[in-house]
Amino acid sequence: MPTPIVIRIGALALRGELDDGALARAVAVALPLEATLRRFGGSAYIETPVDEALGPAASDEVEVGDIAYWPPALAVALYFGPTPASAPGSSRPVAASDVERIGRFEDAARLRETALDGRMRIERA
Amino acid sequence: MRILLVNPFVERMHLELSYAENFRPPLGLAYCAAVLEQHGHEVRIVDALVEGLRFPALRRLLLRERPDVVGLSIYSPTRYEAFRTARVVKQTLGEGVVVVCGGPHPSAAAEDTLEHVEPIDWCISGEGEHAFVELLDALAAGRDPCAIAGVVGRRDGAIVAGPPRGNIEDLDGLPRPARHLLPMRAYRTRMPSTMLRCTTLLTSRGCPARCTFCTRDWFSRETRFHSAAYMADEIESIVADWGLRAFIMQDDTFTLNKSRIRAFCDEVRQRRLKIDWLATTRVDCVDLDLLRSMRDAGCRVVTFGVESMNPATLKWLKKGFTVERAKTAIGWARQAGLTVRCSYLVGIGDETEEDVRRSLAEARTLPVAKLKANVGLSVYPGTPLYGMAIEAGVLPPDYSYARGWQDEERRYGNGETPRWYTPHVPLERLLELRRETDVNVLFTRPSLALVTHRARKFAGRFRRHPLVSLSHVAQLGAAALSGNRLRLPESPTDH
Repeated sequence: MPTPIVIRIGALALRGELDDGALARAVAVALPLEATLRRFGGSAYIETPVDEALGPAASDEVEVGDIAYWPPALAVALYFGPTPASAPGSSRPVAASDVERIGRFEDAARLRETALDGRMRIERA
Repeated sequence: MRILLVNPFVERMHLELSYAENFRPPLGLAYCAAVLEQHGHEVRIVDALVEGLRFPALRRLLLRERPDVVGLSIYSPTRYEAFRTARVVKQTLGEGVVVVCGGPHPSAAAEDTLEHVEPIDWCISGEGEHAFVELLDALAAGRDPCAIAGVVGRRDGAIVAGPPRGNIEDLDGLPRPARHLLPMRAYRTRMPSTMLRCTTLLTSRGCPARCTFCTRDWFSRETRFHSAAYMADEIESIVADWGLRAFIMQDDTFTLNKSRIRAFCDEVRQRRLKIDWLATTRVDCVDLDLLRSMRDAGCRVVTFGVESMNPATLKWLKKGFTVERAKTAIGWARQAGLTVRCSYLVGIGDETEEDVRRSLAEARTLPVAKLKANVGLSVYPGTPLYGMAIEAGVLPPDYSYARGWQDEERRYGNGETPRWYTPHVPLERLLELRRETDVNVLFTRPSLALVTHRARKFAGRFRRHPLVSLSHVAQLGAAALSGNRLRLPESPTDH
């Protein structure tokens, strides 16, 4: 069963869902997550208590609107635009290192229009 | 203003062969110097460590130079020497000189430092280039520097900190480090494997990883990068100015941004740069294609922070990768033709004697050229391990990294940074286990170049410090006769 979630950054609230994979379920169990928001270009991430290995489908290829688990930072990352790892001129995000996609969120464009700092909270809808 | 930036002298490091032959340029000071020069200040850097400038010589230099401001770079393992340097500055030039310190230690423990070390006037917490300039501007204009982001000082007897300072986002906007102010010919660091004389580059700042022991956890988690073109330009300028063709990339995780490294490798090939280089990275930030590309662009050695083959210890360290991933990455690096080195830790977390024995045995099976197994972990201020040590009662809640710095016995002694060991195995037993496994310094493929270089290093050291060298030879002989191995002192650069 996918887990509906709400992502809160300041006054901004975005809807999304975590899928039904093992890693996504481990993140769902850890909800709510709240921590300092950190940036890697067009991705915003927060730390989680989850420390799991990536599955065989892990890669650095992501799409705008993806939610992924990023092991080096033990973090959940939201992708909304090109990152420092993206090809020059490309609008497509690329993860810094391999990640596992664990869900999707809506209205990624609103993240691009918002000043992202402070804290991020991910909770069940 | 006349600014003197000092990398403090550390006697024990100067006498120890493994350090003395591996001093690296203090790039943090060189970056600060470059920005200060850009703002019209008259700057000089004294690397007292590499130049062997003990306190009497430093006093003479201070009297000759008479700087308005002295800046000190402070690391936790050598903080007592830095504190004493600050005292020598004030004793020599009087209270009128301003002493500013920056670097990893004051960034994490500015208030503790100012509370206990009176000769230090100001601490800069975080990346110091711009904060230092703003501090000097405020001092020159008679404004209160305590409001400056990243500056911590005293006001009316109380310690006052400005707001936290953000990281420098545009690294390419910084001038290149002021290597022209460093004694570049005094650094004798050699590239492992080829033994070419080399220098250092810092091509990114920060690391997102959450390793339990690392100061990056609070200091600089968000990573910023120099562009591939900037990196190649800097290399070209070093080749032209200093004739050096070998480089140690000092980044915490060199390959965090793989597309940047691919672009850098392309730049190196397109510009036909004939260079050798070494990089340190994480096992989960590489793939075979990337490692091959690095090899083609002159990378000879890759160092992985593997740390352990014990899954529970990897979790305790919050490394975020598995034992299998570490083995895979090492295999890829070997396949790409790179020499692989690993850092390794035992006797930490909740390891039992059996865990330590198994971990050391596993370490021996890794197909790497060098693996150094450190026993225990240094607890540095501001790290997650510091909080864990307080919670576990390893450190008292009011522990100070500066209290007692004037104690004569502690000035040059080792072991001044508290360490974390597993509570289940006594330290002596841990050291015995490491000796039995003979994994401390493991060279599986010593090259002729390495053996020759080591012999030359020893001869050079013998010329400089004959008595100390003779004493070490005597100790080695005694150890060999008694059937024991010589235990080398713990390195201040150990984790």
